[in-house]
Amino acid sequence: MATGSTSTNISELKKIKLTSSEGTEFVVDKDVGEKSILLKNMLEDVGENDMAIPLPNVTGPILTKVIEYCTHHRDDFFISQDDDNKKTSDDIDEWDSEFCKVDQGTLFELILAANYLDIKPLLDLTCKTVANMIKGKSPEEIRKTFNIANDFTPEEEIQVKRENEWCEER
Amino acid sequence: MQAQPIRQLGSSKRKRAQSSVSTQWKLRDHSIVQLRTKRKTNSTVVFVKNLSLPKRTTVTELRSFKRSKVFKRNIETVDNYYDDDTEDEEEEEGPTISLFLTIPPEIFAVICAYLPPAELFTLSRVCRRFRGFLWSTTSAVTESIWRISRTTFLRYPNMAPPTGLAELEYLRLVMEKGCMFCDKEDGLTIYWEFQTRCCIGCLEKITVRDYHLSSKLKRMNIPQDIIFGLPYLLRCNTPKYNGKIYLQADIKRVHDEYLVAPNKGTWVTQKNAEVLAFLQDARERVKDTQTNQKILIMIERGRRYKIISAKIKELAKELRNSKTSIGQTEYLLKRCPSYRRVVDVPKPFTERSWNALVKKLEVELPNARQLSRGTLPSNDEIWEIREELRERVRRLQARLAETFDENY
Repeated sequence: MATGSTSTNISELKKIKLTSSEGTEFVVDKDVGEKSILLKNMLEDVGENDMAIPLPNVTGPILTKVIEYCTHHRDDFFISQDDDNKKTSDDIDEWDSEFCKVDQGTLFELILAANYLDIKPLLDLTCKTVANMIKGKSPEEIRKTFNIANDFTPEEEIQVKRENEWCEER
Repeated sequence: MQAQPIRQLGSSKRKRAQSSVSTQWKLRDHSIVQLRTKRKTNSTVVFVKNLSLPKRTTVTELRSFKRSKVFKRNIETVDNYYDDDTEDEEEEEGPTISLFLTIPPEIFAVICAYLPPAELFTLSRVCRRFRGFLWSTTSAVTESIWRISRTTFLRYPNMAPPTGLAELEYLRLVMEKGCMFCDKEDGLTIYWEFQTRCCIGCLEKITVRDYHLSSKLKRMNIPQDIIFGLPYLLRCNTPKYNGKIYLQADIKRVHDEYLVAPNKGTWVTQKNAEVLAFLQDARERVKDTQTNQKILIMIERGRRYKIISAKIKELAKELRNSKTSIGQTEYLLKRCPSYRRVVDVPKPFTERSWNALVKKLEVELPNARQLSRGTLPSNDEIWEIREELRERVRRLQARLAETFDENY
């Protein structure tokens, strides 16, 4: 966005290479890759270069998903975060919610990847999805959903219960 | 979506050979050790608490560590034990750790930004890690999580927390139910002057009356100067005592401040100004709280009205006779004294209160029929009245929706 319209035509033709943690190489259009602020900054720093960019924190399957997301949203004008004053989690569009129908392992890996690659809209989308999975549930239901062990000691449990008693009556 | 066990961080079997393996142990202090082994590089990342082990360890180092005394002493249960040498189907079944627990605080905060405070309170009861994130009154991340949640989802309280309270303490003060000192659940007030929510009995116990304060300070050997630094609550229109009351806990707090003040004279002037500003702020919060309560009562009344109306309609079908239609019976029922008494009480309507009401209405209806003979409006007129009422309710609801979030 900041590079201006003059370079858009050229950058559309350009491809960049990415390497996932297993060493698999991915070739993507430059404008798709630049949805990631991390990659965008890297490319600006490095300049014209044919070298593949290693992404040791992202596995192949996750990178495939990330590329799928960025390709679908390649023409979106990502809204900057200060416009984000309305933080509701039920305004997910159809494609995005389909995109998030993955197993939990993948979902959290996507969150970590979005955070690492600095793709704010993807991070927001995946975090919204997790928030929706939490909403309206009791602590026990949340534990079940996410496979979390109740690790409070009995004394803590009593303390926690008493502090939050009002929650129960909802 | 159900939790997926994460035996492996990559998801399918095909990738197993090259991706990573994770194993976890539960320690005696309930913390969890988790390690991920990258198959390709044979490097292991270990997330350990309270155990002396470098963050990145090789497999050989890890093996010797597993044999060590410090390890055996601390491990309570081994979940999903997986040895590199024996890769087989067994690990498919083992209990596992949720990836949710491995995400860093800054991402946890992003998720929390989409949850209202009530949901955050629930989340804080799930496990120690979440509680750690949410229940600190000193961490800046926690503070911002609660602030964002409050300002995004709640219309009340929308003032920033008062001096001395973290967002969490502020929300607990406003949102939790019950007296902070005893088991009482009804008749509670938030005393912003003392940042306390309690019943009237406990208020008596935790405060000192104006005319006792001076002698109490003398007994405690505390200079009278500190009175200028004490916030107070002005009680009026109460049967027992009218006048200023002071919080006992404030006496010690303010005295400690007084003792370290280099110049007592300037301290008194400064502190007095501070207290006056604090009390001014508290008065605004009192007003704000009262407005909120009024709105809550209106909402509760609306809910109650809706339920009773629907039930009255059903009842009218039963009680109609040849002279009065369903609409007219409904009209008459709503003019019975017991209906009017019941409909305005701002409390949830129960099956029991309905049964009591029906009994009374059955007695009152013939009477109402008798009285209204000749003046009873026709069906069409009742229709008009009803439409007009509906319109009024709709307008009121719209106004409420504007000023108040139904969610809360």
